Amino acid sequence: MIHYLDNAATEMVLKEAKEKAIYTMEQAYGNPSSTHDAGIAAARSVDEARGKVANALGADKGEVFFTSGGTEAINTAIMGAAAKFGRKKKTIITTNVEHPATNETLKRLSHDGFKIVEVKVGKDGCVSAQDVLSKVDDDTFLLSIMMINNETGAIMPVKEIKSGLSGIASGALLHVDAVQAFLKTEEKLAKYTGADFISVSGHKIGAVKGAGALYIKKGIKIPCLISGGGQEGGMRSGTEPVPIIAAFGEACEVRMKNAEGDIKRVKELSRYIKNGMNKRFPDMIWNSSETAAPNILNFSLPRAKSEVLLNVLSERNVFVSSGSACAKGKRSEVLTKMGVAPRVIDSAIRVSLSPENTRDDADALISALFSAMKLFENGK
Amino acid sequence: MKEMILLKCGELVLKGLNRSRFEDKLVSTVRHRLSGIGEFNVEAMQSTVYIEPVGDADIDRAFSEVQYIFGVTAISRAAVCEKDIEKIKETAIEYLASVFKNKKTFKVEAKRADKRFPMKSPEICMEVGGYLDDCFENISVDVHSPDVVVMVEIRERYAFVHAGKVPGAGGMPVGSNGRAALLLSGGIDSPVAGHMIAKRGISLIGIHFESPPYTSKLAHMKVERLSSIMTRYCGDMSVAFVPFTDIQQEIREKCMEDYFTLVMRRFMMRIAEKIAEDNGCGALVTGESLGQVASQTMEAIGVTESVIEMPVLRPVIGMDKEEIVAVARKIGTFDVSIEPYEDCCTVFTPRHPQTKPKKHQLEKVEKALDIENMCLKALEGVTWKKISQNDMV
Repeated sequence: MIHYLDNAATEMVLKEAKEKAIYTMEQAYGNPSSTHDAGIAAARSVDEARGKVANALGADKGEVFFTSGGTEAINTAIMGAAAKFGRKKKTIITTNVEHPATNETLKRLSHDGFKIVEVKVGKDGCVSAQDVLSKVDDDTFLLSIMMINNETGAIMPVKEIKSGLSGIASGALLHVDAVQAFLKTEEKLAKYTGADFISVSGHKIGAVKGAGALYIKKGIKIPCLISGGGQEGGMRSGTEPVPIIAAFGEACEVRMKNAEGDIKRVKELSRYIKNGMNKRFPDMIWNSSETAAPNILNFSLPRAKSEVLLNVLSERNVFVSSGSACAKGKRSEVLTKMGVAPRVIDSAIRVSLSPENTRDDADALISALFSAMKLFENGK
Repeated sequence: MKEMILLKCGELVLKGLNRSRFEDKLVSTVRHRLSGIGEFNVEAMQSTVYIEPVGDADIDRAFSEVQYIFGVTAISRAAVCEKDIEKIKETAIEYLASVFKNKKTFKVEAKRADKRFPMKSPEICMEVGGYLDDCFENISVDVHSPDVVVMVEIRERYAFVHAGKVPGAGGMPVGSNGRAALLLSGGIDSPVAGHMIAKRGISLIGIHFESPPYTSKLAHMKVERLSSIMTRYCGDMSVAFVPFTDIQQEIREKCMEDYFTLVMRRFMMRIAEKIAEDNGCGALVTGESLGQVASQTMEAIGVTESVIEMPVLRPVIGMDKEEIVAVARKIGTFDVSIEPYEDCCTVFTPRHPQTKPKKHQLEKVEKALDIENMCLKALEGVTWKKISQNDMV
């Protein structure tokens, strides 16, 4: 039996999403831009999915633009805002623990003369809204802040930042990277955060890889990243991957419907794992703070090496990660920025939960870790 | 216009009576290397290997592929034509137009292997040279230091014209000087060491020690990929994966921590020597570089190799890391080598490793171990993977 506990990297595809994708391939194979019935059926599928994603965000359909995933949504928002406002203003504010999709995009902009201000996180992995707002000045046109950190689950005060911004007459807009937050909390993010741009990804909520979305608040216009046939209201040209988009919509609907129960179960399971770990490994270190999102648990087992633990766990069909799946073995930047000691980072493990996980998975994790730790007992 | 590729054999022409053996090796290597691309006639005559595409075999790909073959000093492409002086002149004009661009002087040399051809070599030179001189306004004859040397060769079946060459990979044909076993860790140095030895005409097998679960499947795959990249120059390679976990755990339980790495490396040597002997190898090859790490001091190398009799070749022993990295980049292994997976050497690293060990100290430390049985058990668990260069093409 597989115990998949790496849901922040990607989730297993929900049955409903998979079935929807196959159904759409068979029934709506047309090009959504075509005017015949096959094309119309495909356009309807995309439209229907857009409605479901919009609903999950608490947004209007017209505010949701499909992209190839979270990374492209983030690139579109940041590069678009820079292109739109960059002639007059040059400053973008962000945190020092963003995902590379944000980091690297901002790095490119800094080479082009933009000023990137990184607000430092504290030991809990969060920035304070006050810190962020104090950096905003007349030259600031964008803030790009993740809502939930992918490695530690730290929750950033994006709502406070947005409401604080309205008190400052800078006119700066807020982009929220909500890839790890979307449908992991009960709040509908567009409504709740009030952000101007929100990036989300399908495969982190049980959809098929290859679709994400960018929410752009009504009234805001930015130039697109990919030009061509003018699909997605000109925001993202290229023939829509209709089955993947349909599956994304379906996953949103399923997760919305079950949100209350799902979130409660993940919370309980998270508490169960924390308890079990604390009991079994008295000297372990929690890298995620108490206030972090319950679905992401980052911890270190002193003396162990992450990679070795991962190997042993993998042999026992327990799949976790040592940090972000995108970093492949490099020492975690996020934990480094939080001030965690290198020795502790080298033994860090990230467990990330989905509503599909059970206590069986948790028990398997703890017992696999326990036997793995025997490998690190002192020799002669 | 039909084209051929000519490979000039370098060092191996010096090898006296062995020459035909080296040439045969080179021809078979070229044939094997090109077999994945298409059909080519390959033959050697007078220190040159001639490669003739059959049908529509892709000569451009063949041309780039032969640049990876050891034993070749220079490579040129030649236009093939009938053995008729008028045809040769026509072909030369057509073929040399691009070579002559931006050049000022040239000369023609001729080789008449087919003595039935009515003109002698100097006559061919004068005829073709004069004709080219008339046809191209920007370029004139200079027999002493020409920018371009045009070769006209009259062979058994055809004549051809060529000019300009690119350097070959140098060295000697892989396999012409025997076989050795390369200890391949997955780092930067060992692929470079293997490459350098292969360049001297030695075919390789690889030996990799792995310690699951301390080392991962990804580390295993990394070694396969490294070997696969190496085959481009070094030819097909079989790699032995030796299970090393039990030995490491036993050393950790029974030996003093300071000696851990040295004891471990002595085991590697013993096991590698056995595998090498069983597979017809005359030497071990390692990527050791003097003083790079604690286990690569003179003393450490001394106690490590003292457990075996087979010679250990260490081609990068005197190279700086930067120099090794430069070769690794050139041969394309660097980017894979730096992927950060644990290997069996990094799993248990002593806090204070011995840098000036003595042989008798090691022997004393190892008394607690049943060396022969431990080696036998590891050897029983060896799995082989054949890495073919044609997987790369």
